[in-house]
Amino acid sequence: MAKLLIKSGRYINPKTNTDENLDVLVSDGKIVELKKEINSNGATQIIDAKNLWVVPGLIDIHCHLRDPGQPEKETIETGTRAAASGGFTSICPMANTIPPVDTAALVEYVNKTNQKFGSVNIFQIAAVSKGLMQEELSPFEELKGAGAVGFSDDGKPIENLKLLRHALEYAQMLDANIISHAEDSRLCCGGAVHEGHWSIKLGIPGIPSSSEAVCVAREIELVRQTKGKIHFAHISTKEAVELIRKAKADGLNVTAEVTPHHLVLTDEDVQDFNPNKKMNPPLRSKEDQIALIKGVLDGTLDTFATDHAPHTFEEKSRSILEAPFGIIGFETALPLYLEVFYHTKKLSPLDFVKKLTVNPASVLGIKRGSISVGDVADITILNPNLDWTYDVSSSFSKSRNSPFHMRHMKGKAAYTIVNGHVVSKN
Amino acid sequence: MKTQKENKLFTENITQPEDIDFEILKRKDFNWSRKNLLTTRDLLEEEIDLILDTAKSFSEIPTRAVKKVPALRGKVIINLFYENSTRTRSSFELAGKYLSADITNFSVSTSSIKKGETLQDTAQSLLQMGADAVIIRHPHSGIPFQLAEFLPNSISLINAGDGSNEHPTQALLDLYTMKEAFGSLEKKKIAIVGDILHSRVARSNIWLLQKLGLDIHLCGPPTLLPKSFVDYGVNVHWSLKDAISNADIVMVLRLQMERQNKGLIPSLDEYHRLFGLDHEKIKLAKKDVKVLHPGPMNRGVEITSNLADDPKYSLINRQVSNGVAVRMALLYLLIFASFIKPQTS
Repeated sequence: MAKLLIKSGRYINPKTNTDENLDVLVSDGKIVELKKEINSNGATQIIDAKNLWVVPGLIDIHCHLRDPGQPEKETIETGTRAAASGGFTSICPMANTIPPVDTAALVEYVNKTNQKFGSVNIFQIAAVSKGLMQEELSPFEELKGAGAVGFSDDGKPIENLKLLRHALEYAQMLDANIISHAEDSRLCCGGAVHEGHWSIKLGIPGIPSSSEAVCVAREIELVRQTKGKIHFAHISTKEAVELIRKAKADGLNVTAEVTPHHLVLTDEDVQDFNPNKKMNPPLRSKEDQIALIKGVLDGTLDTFATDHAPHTFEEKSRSILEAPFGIIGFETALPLYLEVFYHTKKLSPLDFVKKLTVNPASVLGIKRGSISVGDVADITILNPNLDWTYDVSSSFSKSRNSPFHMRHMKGKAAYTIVNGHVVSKN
Repeated sequence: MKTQKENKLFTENITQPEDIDFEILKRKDFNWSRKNLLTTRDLLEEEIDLILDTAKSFSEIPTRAVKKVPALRGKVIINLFYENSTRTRSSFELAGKYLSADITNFSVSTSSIKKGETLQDTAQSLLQMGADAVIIRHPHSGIPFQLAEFLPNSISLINAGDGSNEHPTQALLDLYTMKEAFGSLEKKKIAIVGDILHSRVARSNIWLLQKLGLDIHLCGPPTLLPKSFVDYGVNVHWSLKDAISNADIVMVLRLQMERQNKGLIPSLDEYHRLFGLDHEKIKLAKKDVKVLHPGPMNRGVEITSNLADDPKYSLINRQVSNGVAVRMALLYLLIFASFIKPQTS
């Protein structure tokens, strides 16, 4: 039987609060032994993890694979390969594909395609409403039975609050989360960048912070009423952070995520009109950025996401008004999060890893995010200090829409191991 | 500093008509290396002076019996207009023709731009067609900056209006017109009245006039003039009275009619009552106040016909003729700058 031995690494497992040098032995897709020194006799593959972190496989709670429907942007094959290269062993694609994932058959399509062509685990997010039309609930139970782990109409907010209310109620039967894309579609309408100093200076229609904040506020009140569970995607404003902080203090079932681009870029960066800096929510102000970092540190923002959103070169060559929202992010998320939180010593390695493993696993209730004996052998081995430069032309994604091309990075996944198999080696 | 060789090249490559004062371009302090004009934000004071002086020396050409000098003979200029514009396009077209350039129009309805051609494709086409200068207008902010990234040093790019961002040649012709009327503009109070938020004319003027020490007062309703404009070092007024009291210059902007449908103003009548300029309201300004408007005017909305046509106040016709002279100057300077000194702006 194949036995993979990971030698001399720094084993960091937030689930058990362990951060020490331990060897890890993997067999039959499971972790079978953890010890200071494991004899390499009998190992069929040995990875020398000296000076590397050995952590639970990273989980991306929010991404877009464009499959089915938009193979010119991404497919399950290319998207999961990019995810593997970035250190992710599990990813949660959103339902806004063409057609949207609103039936069990489509969840099965995704899972079967992934079994055949994919590199990492997919935990599909299914649509809240049939066809994302915001009229009727999609078949939650059937979708969950087929493997969906949460529900979201991400890409657009649910303006129909009555439908959202019923979604929050119905999902409780399945102990599932509703993932909210929080913006007010009228307030943000026509905007391309954050409304503030730079949008006014450059004459670009803005998306006000209130667009996110009013939506978060009204949805928190629905959670208070229904006692349901909501997870706020890609939080970008200081106002929303404050609302979520208060909701948590009130004991509501509210969680939230942040993206790397909102932490390392601001609205000032859009002055070159680069459509690859156009995403939704938009790059906000410096004060928002500081509030997001604070929100991560005090636990208001539970998880790190990528919001990997591929678009074609042609689409992203348009004006900043016409280009679609979104950037790719699988291969840059880990180093950017390290840059903001680890290299600045704001988070310990244990707390850092938590945001990419145990926390997203617990938000969605998926059995991943830990590497104790008996756990599935989804492991990321990373070098937190590796200096490298991101070249988007070498991305495994089909798309090239990254604002981080040629950015200096520090830290990178060295090995990505899914179910005991090395799926990516950098 | 320019080397002698460069100066020589500069004069060798053009056929100078005897009767035009090109001395200005040979003067010792001349150091023009700009290739593109995309914004007024990065213009240096010396550059502004040179543009205006050059425009002055060109300004009499359109008044001659034979309205042509060979300054840009053999140069190709392309008007790349993604948005309808009669006056700006014609102004550039004539400016190029007076200088003997070959100028052609490349407008959205006759090209493949709508068919999904990318900016890179457009840039490549312009290069292959042998353009020396491209004049671009686009309904979206930033497109000239994006296009500039793809153009080689041999092609000069002029922004003729991008979305709500900038319209630098309009600001320069406004400046020329004001200087013509007042001489020095330092500490002169200018009120810019109208839809500032969506106005590229206002933005280019603000950035330009700030450099020259004017006292800038913006005026409009809060939906079209957010208070946050004070961040840029200008005064913001929601009352026309406050804005134009004691003003030396009032620049009236065109009100786009769709602002009413978008819920930004209740009605054109109310707008006219509060912000429309007429003979009565202009009395609040200085006696010798001058009025500018970038055109085309909505007579009876932002300005009354009587005032617009009153030669005592109105510089509107001067703006039109000066526009041609300023654009001649810019075409000349930018094309030759890229010709002799391949540097980016």
